[in-house]
Amino acid sequence: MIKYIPYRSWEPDAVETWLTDQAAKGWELVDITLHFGQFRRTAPKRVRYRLDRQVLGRLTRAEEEYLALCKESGWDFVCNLGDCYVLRTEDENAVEIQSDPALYLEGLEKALRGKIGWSIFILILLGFTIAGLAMFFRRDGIAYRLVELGFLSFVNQFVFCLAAALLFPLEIVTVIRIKKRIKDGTVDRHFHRSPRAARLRAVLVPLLILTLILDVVHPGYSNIHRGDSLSDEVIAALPFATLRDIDPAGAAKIAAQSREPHSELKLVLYDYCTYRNLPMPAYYSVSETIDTWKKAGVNQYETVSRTGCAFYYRKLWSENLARDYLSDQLTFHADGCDYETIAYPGFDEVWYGLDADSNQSLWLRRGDTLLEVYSLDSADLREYLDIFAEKLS
Amino acid sequence: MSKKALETLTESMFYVLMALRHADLCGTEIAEAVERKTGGRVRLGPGTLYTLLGSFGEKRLIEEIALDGRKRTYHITAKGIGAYEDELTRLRQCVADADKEAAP
Repeated sequence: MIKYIPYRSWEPDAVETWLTDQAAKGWELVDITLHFGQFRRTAPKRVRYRLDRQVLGRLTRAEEEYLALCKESGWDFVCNLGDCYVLRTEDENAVEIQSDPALYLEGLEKALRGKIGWSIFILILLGFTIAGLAMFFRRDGIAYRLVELGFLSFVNQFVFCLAAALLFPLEIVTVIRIKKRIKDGTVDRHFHRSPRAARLRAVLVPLLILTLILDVVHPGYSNIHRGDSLSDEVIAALPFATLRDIDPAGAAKIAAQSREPHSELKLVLYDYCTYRNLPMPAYYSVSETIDTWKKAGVNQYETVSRTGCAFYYRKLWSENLARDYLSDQLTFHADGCDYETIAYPGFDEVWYGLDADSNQSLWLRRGDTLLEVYSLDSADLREYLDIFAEKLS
Repeated sequence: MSKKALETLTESMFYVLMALRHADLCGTEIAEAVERKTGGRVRLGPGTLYTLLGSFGEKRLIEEIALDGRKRTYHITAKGIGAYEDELTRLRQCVADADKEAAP
């Protein structure tokens, strides 16, 4: 049976009392891994558990000697919890592991010092999360962009914020109580914490860790491919049309260039990025372009010609968000470019723009899905609407 | 309020230094010596003993002089003897003061 240990090693008496209670219910501790205790079923027993913080070094002679002395004093070593040794005895007359009350309280104080760092860490995370959520509700805020682009999952952030907001006061109250005990010199080895708070912590801490892992560590969160990694298979799997579909000869030329050694006068951009959350939203960026440069001075270059297309595909949380996003983008790009709307079956909205440098922009929206195309080529994008309509999913 | 370590010796600290005053001992022997000297009144828990041995070692009040299997033998240093003597003088003074106070 695996049980989460709802108290930290810096409140040893709470852990000790909890383990003693488990033994009285017939659950004997076997081992602890990452704060999860492994228990085996036994007859209910009166057992004293103690957590003893010692800096001896694992598997050293000092540890061997210490554990041997514990054994001689009637205490059996069970396992480690953080930097504490977990010991157990059924002998009611066995001498206390920490027999000097002054040293015991001093040990509590030392353990608490590391705890303050943890509380500050939680506070900082909480602050960032609340700020992020506040910005989320502001259109065009950083968090709005992050969520919209799929870097962060809103649900994940909300759960993290809730867990941190509940956990932080709980931790602070516990620290204050222990500090008061140290100040008063109270050595109460049967100190019971609130079982409700323990249950709450047993849910919140794993939740907090899970959301952090999902947000930061999860390897499937984003994929970035550069250069040659934009293979035919990758392109074929994209949910939208690219240069290969509308101008196969141009795409082949770029693909060939990308495999040649780069020179300072030629830059091939051939990127493919995805950012995805679980389960939504999704964001893809594909750039199939060649820039040719000429030297215009020391460490200065100017673009001679550009050709190719850039594609941005977004699947958003909702149709409303997609509509708002498109509206924002058209306003943002309107400067120096006139947009015309085109009615085309299979799309809810189609916008086409041509700027003073003859660069074309095409915006296609179907429900919650948007495709944004920037072309540096002379071929008119409007002629390929049927290809975009067919492939956009 | 907890006593700040080594400024004033706690009872356990005092007896550990006392046990080492005339003999070099290992952990188990220190615990036994303290229990014997106090007639069982003071029993050192293994956690307390190892906290003290570590702390005394850092402050150079004691030093490790031999290793036999898993048993380490400790020796009191001149600094340790000084700390013990200071505490003994302080305790004697306390008792003398108390005696004077109790005298008619």
